[in-house]
Amino acid sequence: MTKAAKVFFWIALLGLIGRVATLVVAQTKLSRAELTQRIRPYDKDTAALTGEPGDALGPSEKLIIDDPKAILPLKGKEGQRLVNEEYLTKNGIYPLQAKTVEYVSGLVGYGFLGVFLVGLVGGIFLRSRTLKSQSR
Amino acid sequence: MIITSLLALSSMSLSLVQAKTFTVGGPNPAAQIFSVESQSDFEDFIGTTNQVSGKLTYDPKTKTGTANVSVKVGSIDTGIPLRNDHMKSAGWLDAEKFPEATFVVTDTKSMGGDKYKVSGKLTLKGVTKSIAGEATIKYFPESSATKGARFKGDVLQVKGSVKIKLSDYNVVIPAPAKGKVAENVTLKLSVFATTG
Repeated sequence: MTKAAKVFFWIALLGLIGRVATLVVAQTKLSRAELTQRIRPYDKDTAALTGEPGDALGPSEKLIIDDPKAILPLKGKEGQRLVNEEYLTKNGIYPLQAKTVEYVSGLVGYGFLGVFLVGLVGGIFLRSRTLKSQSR
Repeated sequence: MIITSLLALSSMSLSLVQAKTFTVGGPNPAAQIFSVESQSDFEDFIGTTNQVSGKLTYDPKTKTGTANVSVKVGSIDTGIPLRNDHMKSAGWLDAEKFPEATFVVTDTKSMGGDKYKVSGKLTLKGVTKSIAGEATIKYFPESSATKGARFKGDVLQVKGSVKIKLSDYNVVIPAPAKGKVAENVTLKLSVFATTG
């Protein structure tokens, strides 16, 4: 096998490792994502008056919340964790969204898949060319 | 015949009198929220501001009302300072030239309970267009519960939402932000207003 073919196979291996690593990292992150609803909580008396815990902001979505203090003890109508939006804002927390992890890991994963395929095809092509020239 | 007409007129004027005027505001400014919600494949984001002001009228008997509410667009916070700066810039909302967005609700139709269909006009970035959306309106006459929550007078809780297309209001998403910001966004208003 020529040196060039070896380089291509190494590239393919790196692409494969990168692809697997991306999947592992993404799945680890996504396993911590929970269905949440951001709310801006009312004070106790306003909540009693309106019968609502606060103002819902945005749709329910899967978020990765690292700070447990941001999560309110109540749950939403569909069992969502209620997240205190005021706490997030005050502490400059911008929670990671599951859809962002899926989107980015998808792009990176396809990139590594491309690297793997280029390395594999290139390595096989160079190897077969070398074998052909040796058999002549 | 004349008596019937007079009676009809007097009942009409009575129903007009029953429409109350409310001013947006309450003991907790953080509970006055305007939000803009964008959903894209990459991420969802919410921009919010508490800088909401205006007047509403509501008649609890006929379940009809109007609204004229303004929002300071330069105060919208999306959670990322750089994005806030972009939103204020001339290409986006141009907050310097058009500091306020205005909602004028001219028609409300009760859908039963607290649910309403509302229609009117939205002015954003100097462009005025007709809008239609849904709202939840809760009316709380002055009581120990409203006083306990530190409201003065009767209280109106209004939550409304409308979907708009940004390009209809001359808001053009620049190429680098395409895919990160949705072309169609939801504007939501959640306010308390009082007669006090």
